[in-house]
Amino acid sequence: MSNVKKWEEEDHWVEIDQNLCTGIGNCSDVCPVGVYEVIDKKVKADNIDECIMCGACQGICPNNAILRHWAW
Amino acid sequence: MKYDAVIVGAGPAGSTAAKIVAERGFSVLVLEKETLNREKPCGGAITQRVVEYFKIPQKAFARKSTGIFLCSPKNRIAVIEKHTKNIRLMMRSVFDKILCEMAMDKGARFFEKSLVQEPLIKDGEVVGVKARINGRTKTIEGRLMIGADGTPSTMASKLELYSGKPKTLAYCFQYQMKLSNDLIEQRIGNNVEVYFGSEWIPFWYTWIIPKDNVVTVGTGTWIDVILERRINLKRQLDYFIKKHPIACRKLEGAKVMYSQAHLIGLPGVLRDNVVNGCLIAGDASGTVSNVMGEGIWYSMKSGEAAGLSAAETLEKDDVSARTLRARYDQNLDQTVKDDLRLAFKIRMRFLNTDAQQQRSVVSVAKDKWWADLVVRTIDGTSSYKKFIRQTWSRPDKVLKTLLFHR
Repeated sequence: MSNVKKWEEEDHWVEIDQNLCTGIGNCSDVCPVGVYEVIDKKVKADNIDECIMCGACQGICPNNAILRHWAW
Repeated sequence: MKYDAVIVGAGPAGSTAAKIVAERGFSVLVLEKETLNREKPCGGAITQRVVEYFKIPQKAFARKSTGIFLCSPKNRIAVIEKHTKNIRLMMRSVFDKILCEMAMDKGARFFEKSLVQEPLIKDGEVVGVKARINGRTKTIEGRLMIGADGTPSTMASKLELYSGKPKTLAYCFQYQMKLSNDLIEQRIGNNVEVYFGSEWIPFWYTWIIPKDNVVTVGTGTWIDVILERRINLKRQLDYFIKKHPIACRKLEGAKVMYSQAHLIGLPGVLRDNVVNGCLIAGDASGTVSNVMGEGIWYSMKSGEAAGLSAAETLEKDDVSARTLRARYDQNLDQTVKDDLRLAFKIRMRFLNTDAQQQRSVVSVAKDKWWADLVVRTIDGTSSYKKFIRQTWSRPDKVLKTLLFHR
């Protein structure tokens, strides 16, 4: 069963597949603006409004759990 | 509609490839996930060879750089006032758009706000892409695809081409800061400024590049280092701007307009850059030099090779991985291949540790021979192979550097 959580901002969003996410936190380590936080071995993107859409999180996630999108 | 070539990404590599394929009479579609005048995280300094070889009009540039300013980890300064060839400074929003227009003139079509989600694969061959275009998911078919979608590359990733090798990915963060041209004139001039030292960023460097009433200030290093040491690049750059004894005075009063960040693909980032029906080119295939981080020249040369290979394989109607690889290998200049291969070696020998960085900057400051060699290597008039050959030919210079230039 798919379990994808989505965080949205005006012109973009981030989806994190909760089944794939292991909470190792590479995304929260790399993110320069602090979008991510690891809580109970799962990553949350509550600070999505800070996101500068660089895509590093998606690029370095070893589990391919992160998907970003522009709203268009 | 089925296109002859579908190119993912309207950056320098994608647009260069598009121009060449369109020029040879094939139908070309370029898909860009943002807009064609999107700004991009990039120092924005390009070497003269780009301007000359690819015939870039002057309106692309905000400023001509006349010198290089190097600051060592112990704040020793070396200024090389005169280039043999000029370096141009520009905003990527302007530069990339001009490259798109040059390709459009030859007949290439561009779609903006078109995010490619995955390649379409049929019988072991890439036959198109699935993309989200203005909010709707569509499939676009092509005889040949070129992935020029930067790092992280969706195409390379979905085709499982990433090598996973350490030190093949870097990450950079930068600010575009408002600073008046008067203050730029007083404090920075037309120099490209490079600051070394692990206090600011380990292994790589921090840069200040003047534009038109704007300065680009950024930093970056290998992603492995960032993860291992839990370096926050924004915090690191803020610290540099506030605390660097020399840079902080130059940047006093400069206001952050916006911040940008991106991953950078270095040589070796992919295990291969071709599959049946698809070729990966530009930064997505790791065409950024490990020495000073120059990327646009290599990206465009890679885009050119991809474009030529695409046209040749389309003519023969054979887009198999084997043919694509052979054509790409033939079309990519040997000096480009050599530079990308040797860049890591040069970095590890001259620029990696604080002690090496210190020695290199002091050598440039003290010895005209080093200054000349370094400036020719940075501005692209001398290849990395030549640089290495020159250092071998003068063991006395190398020895002096090792013993006295601290």
